[in-house]
Amino acid sequence: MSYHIIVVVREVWDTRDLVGEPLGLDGVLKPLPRRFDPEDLNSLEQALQIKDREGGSVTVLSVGQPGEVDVLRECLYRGADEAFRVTTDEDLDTGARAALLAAAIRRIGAHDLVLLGVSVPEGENSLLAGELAGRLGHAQLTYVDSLTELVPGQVTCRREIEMGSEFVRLPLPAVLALGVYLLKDDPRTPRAAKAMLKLKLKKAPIPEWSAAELGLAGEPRRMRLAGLTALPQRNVETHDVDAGSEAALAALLRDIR
Amino acid sequence: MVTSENFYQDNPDLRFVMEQMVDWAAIFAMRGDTGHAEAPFDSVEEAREANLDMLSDPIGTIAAQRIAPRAEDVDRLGCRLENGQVIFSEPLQRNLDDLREAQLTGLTMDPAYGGIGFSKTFYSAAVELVSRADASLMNFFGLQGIADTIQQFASDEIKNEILPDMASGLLSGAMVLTEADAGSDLSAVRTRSLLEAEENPDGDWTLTGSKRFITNGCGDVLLVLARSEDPAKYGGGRGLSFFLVTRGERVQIRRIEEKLGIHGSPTCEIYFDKAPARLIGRRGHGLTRYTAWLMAAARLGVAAQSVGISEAALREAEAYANDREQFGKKIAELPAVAVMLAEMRVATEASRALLYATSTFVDLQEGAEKLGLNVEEKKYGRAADLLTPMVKYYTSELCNMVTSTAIQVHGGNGFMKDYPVERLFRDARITNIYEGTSQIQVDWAVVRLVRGELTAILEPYAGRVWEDIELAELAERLHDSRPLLDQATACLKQRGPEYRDLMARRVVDMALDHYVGWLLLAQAEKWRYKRKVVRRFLADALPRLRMNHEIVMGDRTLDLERLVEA
Repeated sequence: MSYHIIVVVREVWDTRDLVGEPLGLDGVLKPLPRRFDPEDLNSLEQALQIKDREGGSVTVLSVGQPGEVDVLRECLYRGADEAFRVTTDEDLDTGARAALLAAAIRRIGAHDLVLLGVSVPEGENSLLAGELAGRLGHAQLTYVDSLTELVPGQVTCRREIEMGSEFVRLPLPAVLALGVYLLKDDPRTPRAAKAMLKLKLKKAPIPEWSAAELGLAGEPRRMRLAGLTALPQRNVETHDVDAGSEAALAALLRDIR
Repeated sequence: MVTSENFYQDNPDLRFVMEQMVDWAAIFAMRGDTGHAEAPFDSVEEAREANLDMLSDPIGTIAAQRIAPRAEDVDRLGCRLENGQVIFSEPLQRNLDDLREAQLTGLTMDPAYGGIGFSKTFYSAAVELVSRADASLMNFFGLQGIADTIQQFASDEIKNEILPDMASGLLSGAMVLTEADAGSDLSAVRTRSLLEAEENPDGDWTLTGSKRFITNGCGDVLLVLARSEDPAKYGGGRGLSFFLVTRGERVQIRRIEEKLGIHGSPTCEIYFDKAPARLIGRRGHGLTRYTAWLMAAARLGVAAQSVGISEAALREAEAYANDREQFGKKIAELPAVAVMLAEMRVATEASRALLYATSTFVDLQEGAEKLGLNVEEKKYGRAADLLTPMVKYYTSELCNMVTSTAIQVHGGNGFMKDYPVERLFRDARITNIYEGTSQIQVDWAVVRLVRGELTAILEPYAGRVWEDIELAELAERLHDSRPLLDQATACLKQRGPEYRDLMARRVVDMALDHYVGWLLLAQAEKWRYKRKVVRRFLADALPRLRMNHEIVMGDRTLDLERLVEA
C-alpha cells in the first residue's frame, strides 16, 4: 500500500547558540543565522521513511521566498518527489498562513497525511497544525513522537507523556505535528542531502502559487498589531523610620492601613 | 571531545584555502568542467559553488554529526573475523551506510558510470573532512582510487560491469599489493598468476599465493599485483601484471591483524586458491604503470588523511588548553604550552597549504592528459610526481608530531583513553608507513629534486614583486635561502648515489621548508592572519634549512651516518 504524504516545511531563526555578545561592532543587534526548522526536518524524515518502506510520494510545501536556507530544495536533495512554494510578500500570522497552505494542499490533491513539526517559533504549540486541520476538515494530533502503525485509512501514533507513552489512532487523512526527541544514532535522525541529487536538482524549477492563483481573493485576513501602550510608572515614596521608636513604628502602621 | 555541526563551516583555514587559494578556474578549465557546450556547469562560479557546497553538506555535516561521534566506539570495537568472514562493528556499518546513502562513494568517478566526477582537489578536501572525524573510515572512503584505476586502465567490459556498483557504494574495493617478502620492494612479489589455457592468449587467469596487510581485503573488488611472466625471462617488476579478482570462495581471508591504530579498518591476510582473475591493461605493466598510478592517488589520500588527523588533534589540544587551569590560569596562557599550540597550528596549516597545491597539480596533469595537451601534461606531471611523495612524507610526519604534542598538552590526561588524543596519536602512526614509508617517499622525491624538477614549481615566485613591505621582506629571506637549496641539491648530484641516499631526507626537508614558505607567503597576501603563520613558520624553517645545508655540504664521511661498531 502506498501513501501520499505532504510535508509543510519552514525556515526558522537558529536560536541554539545565543551565548556571547548580541550586538555587533556597530551597536546593532547581530542577525541570527537561520536554519531548517529541525522538527519539520524530522517530519520530512518520517515521510521519506514511509515512502521508502511502503511506496507512494512525498510532496513538500512552504510559504514565502527562501531566506538563507532554501528548505524546499533541501527536501528535494533528500529525496522528496515534488516541491511547491506559495508566494507572498507579507509577513503572515498563523491563521493567514494556514489559509494559504490549506488552499495549496487542496490544489495538490489527494493525500493521506500532512506532516509538520511542532515548530520552535510557535513556542512548540502546533498552532499551524491545528488551524490547518480545521480548514481541511482532517483529524489532527500534536506532539507525535512516531508513527507506529500505518494501514489504509488509519494511522496510530505514539506520544511521550509523563510516566510512559500514549498511543492514539486517527482516521486518514490526518494532520500530524511531530516533536521528536532524537537519541544517539536514532533511526529517526534526518538523513543528509544526497550528493547526486544535489547536483541534479540545483536548478530544478520549483512551481510557485500566489494567493490569487490559489483562489484566495483580496488581502488575507489576519491579526495586526493595533498599538502599544506602556504601563504608567509607579511613584514610590520612601520614609525613614527610627526603628527604636515605638511611636514612629505605630505611626507607620497607621499610614499603611 | 570537541563537537561541531559542520566540519567544513567550522574550519576557517580549510575554507580560506578552498575559497581563496585553490585556482578552481584553472582546474575546471583543464578538466573540462566548464567552458564548452557539454560541460556539466555553465560557469566557473557555478562549478566552484557546487564543489564548496558539497564539502559543506553533505560531507561536512555527515563527518561532524554522524561519523565523529562514533569514532570512539569504532576504535574500541574494531573488526572481527568469524568463519572467514570479516564482521564490521555496528557503528562502522552505520558510517558506511551513511556514506552510501549520501551518495559519497563515487566522488571522482566518471558520471557515465554513475559517479560525480569531481576533481582530486575536491576529493582531498573530502578525505580531510572524513579523516578528521574518523581516520580509520578514510580507508574505506579513500578507496575510491581503486575505481579510478579500473576506470583508467580496464576494458570497457569490466568497467561497465563493475563501476556503476562501485559508484553507488554497493561494491567496495581493495588494492592488493603487499606480500610477506614484498613490502617496500614490490618487485619481489611472488603471487603467481597463470593462464589456465596457455594456448588461448585471451583466456582466463587464476591466481595462487598469499597477500598480507591488505586494507579492506574483505572488499568485493580486488586489484591484485601478481607475477604473470616467467621469472627467467622477465624478472623483478617487469614480470608483474595487474588483475581484477572478485570476492568468492577461492579468495580466503585467513586472518585480520591486531593493530596499534585505525581499528575501524580491517587489515587482512588473503590466500588466493586458484582464484579466477581478469587481466587489467597490458601484461608486464602491473608495477611500473598501474601500481604507480594507484599508489600516487593513494599517497595523496594519505596526505589528506594526515591533515584531517592533525586538524582533529589541534582542536582537541586548543580546547583542552583553554579549559584546563594550572598555576591559577588557563594553561594555554603559559608560554611553554602556548608554544606547543603554535607549533601544532603552523604544522597543520602548512600541511594543508602543500596538500592543496599538490592536488591542484594532479588535477591539472590529469586534465591535460585527457585533452591531449602534451606540453602541459609533462609540465604538471613533473610537478605532481615530485610533490606527491613530498606531501605524503611532510603531512604524515607532521601529523605524528601534532598528535604527539596534543597528548603533551593534555599531560597525564592525554595518555588516558578518556580523551580522544590518545586514539588520534595511535591512528596517526600508520600515516608515515603505509602507501610507502617516509623513507620511500624521500627516495622518490630526492631523485626528482636532483633532476631539478622543483625549479619549474618555484618559477612563479622567482621574479614576483611583493608590494606589501612586510611580505617583501619575508620574500627576500626566502630568496636568500634558495642558493643554499640549489647548492645542497647539486652536492648530492656530484657526490653520487650512496651519499644522495644518506642525505636525501635533509635535502627534501630543505626543499619543503623553502616551497611551503612560498605557499604560506602567498596565503598571507590574502588573509592578514596568515602573516603571523608565515612569520612563525619561517622563524623555524630558515634556520633549519641552513642547518641542513651545513650538514649536507660538510665533509662528513659516510661512516658517520652508520654508527655501527666495526
